[in-house]
Amino acid sequence: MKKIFVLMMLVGLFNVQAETSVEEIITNANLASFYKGDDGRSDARMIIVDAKDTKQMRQFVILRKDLEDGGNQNFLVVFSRPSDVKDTVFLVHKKVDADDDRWLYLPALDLEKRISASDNRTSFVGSDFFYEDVSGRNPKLDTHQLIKEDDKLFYLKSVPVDATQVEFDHYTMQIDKQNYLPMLIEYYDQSGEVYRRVEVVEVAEVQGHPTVMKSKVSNLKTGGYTLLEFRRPAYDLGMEEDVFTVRSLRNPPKNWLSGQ
Amino acid sequence: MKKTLLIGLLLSFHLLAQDTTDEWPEDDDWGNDWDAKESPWSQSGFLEAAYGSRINNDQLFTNQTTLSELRWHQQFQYSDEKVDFNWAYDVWVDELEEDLQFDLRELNFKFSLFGQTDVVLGRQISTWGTGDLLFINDMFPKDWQSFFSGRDDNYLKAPADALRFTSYFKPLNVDVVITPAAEPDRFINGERFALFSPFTQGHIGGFEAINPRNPNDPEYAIRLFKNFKGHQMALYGYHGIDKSPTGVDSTFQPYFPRKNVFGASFQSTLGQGLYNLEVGYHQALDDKDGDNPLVPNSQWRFLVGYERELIKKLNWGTQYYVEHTVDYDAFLANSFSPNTEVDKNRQVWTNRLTYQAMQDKLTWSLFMFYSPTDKDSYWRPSVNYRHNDQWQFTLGGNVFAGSEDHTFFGQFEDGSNLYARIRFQY
Repeated sequence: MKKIFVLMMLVGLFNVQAETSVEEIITNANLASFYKGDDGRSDARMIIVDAKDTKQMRQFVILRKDLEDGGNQNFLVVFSRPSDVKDTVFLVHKKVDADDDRWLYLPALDLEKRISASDNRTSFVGSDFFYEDVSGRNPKLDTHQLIKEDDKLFYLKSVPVDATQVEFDHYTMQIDKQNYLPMLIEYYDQSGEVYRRVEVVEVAEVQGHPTVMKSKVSNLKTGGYTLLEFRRPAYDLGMEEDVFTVRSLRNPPKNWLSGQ
Repeated sequence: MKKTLLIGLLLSFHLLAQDTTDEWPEDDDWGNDWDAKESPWSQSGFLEAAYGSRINNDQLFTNQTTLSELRWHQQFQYSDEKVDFNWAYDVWVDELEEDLQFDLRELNFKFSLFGQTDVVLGRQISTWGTGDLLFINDMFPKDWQSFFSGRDDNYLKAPADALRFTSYFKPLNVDVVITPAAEPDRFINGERFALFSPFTQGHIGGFEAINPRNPNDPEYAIRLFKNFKGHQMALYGYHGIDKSPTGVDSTFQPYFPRKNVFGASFQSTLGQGLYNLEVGYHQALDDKDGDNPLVPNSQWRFLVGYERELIKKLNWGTQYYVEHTVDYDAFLANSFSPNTEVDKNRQVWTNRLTYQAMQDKLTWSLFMFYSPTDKDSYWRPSVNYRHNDQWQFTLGGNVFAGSEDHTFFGQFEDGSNLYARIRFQY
């Protein structure tokens, strides 16, 4: 009887430890992926390839400022290519516990358009990336479980708290133990098949922050994929908060765009 | 001949397009071309062929074509740390117009002063207000001929030679646009589409039926605006002209009556969506008592709107708009044709549905205007397919319906048209 009691206590203790550790991994992964430094900038470009091998391109600069680590943050995305989206600007005040405030500026009409919240698991500018892949998914929306670990990686399985809000049944992540970057994320459908894969292709150290330089999203159902590459990333630039106001829609801040 | 030229041009651009996709070699998708902007100059543009035709015959026109053009849009941009220079123009041939057409869309300098003020000097396009295709406080020029004939939505906005200052201060932002010589709308004048004339009590068209006296007064527009925790508020003021030649002067020539507009708007979130409220008082300076039958009366205009995503990639927007004519009794008492005058409270209900499919390559869109007071409607269906970064195809329509000849949308019933566009952009 006593033995069972001790055993139960041990199991309980072990569970608690495992839970904190999963929480830690997820928190660290979220910070490593989306909250490096207090602010950041990078050039970015995407190649979108569909099943028929038709290629499209998007090139933009992305600016970010965190209001709180792991919390709300602001984004400004300024497009330069292709020509029909050139000078289009996208401003997001991301809120962890509420819908984001979003604005879009369309230069041909000089139209500053407030846009309503949309499903975050839909295509970001026509690519295979979702909005959530770019700006982060709230870790509290899923329950996470550490499946196993080896020398290099944590293996996690995540199940949505509200399955009606998402298209996946669950997803698995392989998180690098050194830098906490999710190197591979695979999304499973209800039949247990992997249908979507997000993988890190190249990582570089930038101002002490391990930074994803190249990544790839594959849609295994259609055979389409999108490559995303970053260039000239920089952190802790001391961006002013007014960089992320509607002024930047018509007049994006040149000093932060150029990356000099 | 024109068609051969068109096909030739499109083919040559197709070859060009294939060249540009070779930037990304098959073995190395990443390539090296970042378009790094080593040069402060950049350029872009497109070639577009467009064709549109009336659904039914309009007896006033010998040719039922509403659009038949080959258009070249080109823009150049210079950008350094201090200043931006923008130059954009359109050149096109249109079966409906005799000569080669030219439209200077932009020729301006943009720079900042004192850290908090942005200046745009020169030919430019300006927009403000919260309405979707309904304009209460946006008195900047619009191109209704392009809008009705099925050109790209971007052509709804026409440029003006103007000076714009936008200053950003902590308590309030101030936006001022001065247009030294008033720039009217590109209004429906009978050339491309017929319209109802209250004087003849019938339709006029097939020629330039409305040829107004050109305005040369300046226009002043001001907006005070603030964004407070996601709530967007604005106050507006305007002094200038009615943008369409709605007045007739003592020599019976159409002209643009002088006008003041005072208004306000508010926009914020409601549940998953956004709502907006806008109001404006349009003061007829040439008919302050509302008893001059040659100039429209003052009006109050109200708008309430809501939009949200219904399901993934399906967006819905709806608006209710009311136009209240002031001094309505005096207006009717003095009217030459009280039976065909506007209602005291003209109302319009709009709905917009937009659905994106095929990873945003295919966009279905429907915009509907319906007036319960005028008993008329205007439907704008369209489908756009963006094949890649070079090629786009659009099919659409402008369908007007109404039980009476004189109402706002109903008068254009015979102008109802379908159109197709092919665009190559570079």
